[in-house]
Amino acid sequence: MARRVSSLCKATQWSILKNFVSGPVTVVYSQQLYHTQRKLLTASTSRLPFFTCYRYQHQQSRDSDESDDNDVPRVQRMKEHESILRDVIARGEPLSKDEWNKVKQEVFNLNSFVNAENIDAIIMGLCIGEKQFAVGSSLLDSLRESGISPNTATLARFLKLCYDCKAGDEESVLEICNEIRNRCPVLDASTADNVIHGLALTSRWQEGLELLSEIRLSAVPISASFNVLAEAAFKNGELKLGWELMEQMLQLERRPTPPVYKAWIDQCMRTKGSEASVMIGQLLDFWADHDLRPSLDVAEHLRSWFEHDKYSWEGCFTTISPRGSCQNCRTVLRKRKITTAEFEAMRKEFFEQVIVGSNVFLKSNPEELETFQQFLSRTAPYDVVIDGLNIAYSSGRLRPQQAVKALESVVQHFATRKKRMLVLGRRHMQNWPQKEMNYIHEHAFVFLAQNLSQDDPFLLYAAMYSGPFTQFVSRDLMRSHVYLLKDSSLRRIFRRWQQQRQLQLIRAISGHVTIMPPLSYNPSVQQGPGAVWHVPYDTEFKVQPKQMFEPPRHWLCLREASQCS
Amino acid sequence: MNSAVRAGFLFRRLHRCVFRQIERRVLALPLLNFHTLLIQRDCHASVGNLEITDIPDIKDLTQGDPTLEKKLKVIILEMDIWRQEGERVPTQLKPADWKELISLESRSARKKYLLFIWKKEMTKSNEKRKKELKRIDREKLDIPVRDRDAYGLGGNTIFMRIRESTMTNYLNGKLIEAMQFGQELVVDCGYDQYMTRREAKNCAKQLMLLFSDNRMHINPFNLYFCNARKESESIKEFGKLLCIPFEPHFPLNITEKSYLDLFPKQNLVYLTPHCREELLHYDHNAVYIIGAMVDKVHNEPLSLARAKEQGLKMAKLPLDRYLSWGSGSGKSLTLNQMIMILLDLKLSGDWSKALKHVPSRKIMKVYQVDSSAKQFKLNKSKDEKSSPKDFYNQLLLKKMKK
Repeated sequence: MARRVSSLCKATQWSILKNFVSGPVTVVYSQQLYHTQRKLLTASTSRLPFFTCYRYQHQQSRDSDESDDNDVPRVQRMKEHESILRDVIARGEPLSKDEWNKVKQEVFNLNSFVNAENIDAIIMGLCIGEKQFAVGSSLLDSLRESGISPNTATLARFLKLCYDCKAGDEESVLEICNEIRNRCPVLDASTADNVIHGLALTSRWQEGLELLSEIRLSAVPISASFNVLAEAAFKNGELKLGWELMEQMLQLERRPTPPVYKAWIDQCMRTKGSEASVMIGQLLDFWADHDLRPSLDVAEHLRSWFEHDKYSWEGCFTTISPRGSCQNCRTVLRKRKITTAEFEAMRKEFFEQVIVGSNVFLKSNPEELETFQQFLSRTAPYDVVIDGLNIAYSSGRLRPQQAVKALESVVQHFATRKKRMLVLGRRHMQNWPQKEMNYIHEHAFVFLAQNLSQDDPFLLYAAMYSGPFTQFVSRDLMRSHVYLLKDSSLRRIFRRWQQQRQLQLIRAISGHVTIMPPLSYNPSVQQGPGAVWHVPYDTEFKVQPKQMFEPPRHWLCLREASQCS
Repeated sequence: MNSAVRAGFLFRRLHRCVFRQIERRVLALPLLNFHTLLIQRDCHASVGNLEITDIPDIKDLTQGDPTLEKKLKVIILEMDIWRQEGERVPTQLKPADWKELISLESRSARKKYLLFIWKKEMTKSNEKRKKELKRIDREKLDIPVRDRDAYGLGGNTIFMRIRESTMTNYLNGKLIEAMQFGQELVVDCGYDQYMTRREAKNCAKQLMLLFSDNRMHINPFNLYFCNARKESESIKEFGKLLCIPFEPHFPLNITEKSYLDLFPKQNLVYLTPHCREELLHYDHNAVYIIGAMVDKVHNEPLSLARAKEQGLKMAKLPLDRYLSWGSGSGKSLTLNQMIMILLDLKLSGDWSKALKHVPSRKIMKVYQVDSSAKQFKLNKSKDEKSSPKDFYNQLLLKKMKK
């Protein structure tokens, strides 16, 4: 078995052998080793016969306190202590001091990395996972009874437990917060985050803001800190502060969680009069501006507000047809316009950051850029810009004869519709079959970049240079180019422009050309004519939703009941 | 052990132990020790065990900057909290480690770095423990202790003893000969600003292996390390690994100058994987340039950009032409693999011999079922080493088919 296994890579070898052996492993390797020692011997031993074997004792896992007989890997042993503790905690009963000592002794006897220093915090962490407040507070009581003062990590985690279970009276929570802050003049990121959770339960939640700025000294705050404070702000009536926190969060690429939105909607429910509709409008505009989507429970909450007895609105979960009409109210959704200022800003940034970037030689060279810009100034504007190589190789890596036919059929498709075209490609396309290339040259402008340059940035820049109404044909999703734009607002504008102007090629074989037109509507929160709102939502909350290239499938349609037929 | 293997082990000692300075290990936490903690069951580890003044060379680290001092306090607290939560955090940190820890920007980077130091610490303590146990076992068995340098068979051997210094002098002599008559090879060390610290350390190790592989070969290159600034991370680490590379008597050319100043431009050929022309015919008059960069993080075509900017000829190795590439690990080759390929190419002119130095895990292997025996037989791609037996079998098969 060793010889057969030896031909696989090291990781696969170990995973196979792990299933068969439980003790220390002696692995016999053949000559192709890649341990460092081997490299130094390479020159001298390259003349040795092929079947020289070296024996290596596999190194044990690196835990400090294990004895030699305990050869079980660390991950397995971690689960043992966890299973013991989880059993105790899941029962949900508070334990006395002696019972805790017994459980701790049991865990210490496992001889794992868990020792007197870290067991308390580990237990508290498991209580958070199981959401057992009573067990956690009994642990703290037992420590106090024994005269041991709990360490900072345990106290901080207890605060988080209080917040998650919404339990714990204000006095004791504040006492713990004071103790932590007295022990440590400066807090690190995770402790500060836990203290913010604790303070949010009390009336002194505003001290959390100072802590937030303190976290920034050493790390980027996690989204929980912002969310907890924003929710507390909304609950306590500090509305402007809450919105500021949400904006800050978005700057750092963090997203607000459902409880924050629900707190805002609850606040709207409490206010009377037309104020409330303005506030709801603020939330919907926020979602529209930042291309955010609520989750299902927030959408439900929103719908219940709209269907409040005072208002005669009606909410309904629906879908949008491919043409953009709502199945419920039959209004057609509209596109979101990109203003000239936004477009100009995006074009300028694109040229500076994507095409030139840190070094212009990475994607192209200065002479070529110069030539390209002169070419554009001579021949722009265009109706369509075509990514030649992407289209040509759309059915796989074909030979030039077939590739050029695909490109020719696409050019023909647009030529029959009398469009002004630009085709981008690379210098080696000059060697492609002449007949088809002549046809392309007759019906379109052609720019061939150097063989070593990347042609995608040229495509996008040509389309942007030509104007906001120029479309471009490519199957590429342009993800890497978007990422190079540093500003998140510019990225959103780019995505919007791409959604409206990119024609996706589906098939271009032997004369049949199928092109998918761009989405005719803006796939995010929008207000329709009259009193109608359409809100797309996700079925569950995702921390970082993937870039959606398909239109959302679930929508909430809200409209005034007097309008429905 | 035969002499060739012995030479290898001796080289390891040469590079690592013989001339290396032993750094002073400073205890950051003088009394705290996992073993003592286990004994004191009802102790509590309060925060702030480690004071900021306990760290040696604190002034050098922070240079009196109050924000940096505050950050350092936060980092110490962070380490303590992680230890209290059961995360893997080391007990002792050297001054260089503290320096690197402060310079890291994010929490996750610090956590990974502390994990790395923890692993080093644990490996050391485990080795120590095992050595102790082995010593105890050996004492029980009562074996007579032998002088380390004595040979077996009653202290006799028919071979002449070849000492380390002889080997070093011989190989250095070959290098000097290469400097006088041999072909030059340039290693462009000017990519330090694109590498992280970890990558720079890996690069330094690869440079060391490159130097040693070149020296051991029968026909070495005259090596030039160009654009090698002494303040750059990779060259600093390289200097730590080989303690004498900057002295004038050491047979290696390290300069801060660029290769454009040292060699005529028409002879220079930059080897970069991002270009299109393959290096099919080895030119013995050209000066080949290898970029010394470990590009795990930055995947941009930096060597291509540099060669374009300077207007140099470019080439890439014909890996696709001669090898069927497998799915394991990308097409990047380390520096020592590159130089072995070039050395063997120079010697033999044959690509199939030179490309044997590409690790076999990267090359596709084909498994064939032998229907008669119903067994799995390993059939390697035709450019790999095949034993004489396989070759003979294949010949027989061909004859039988005719």
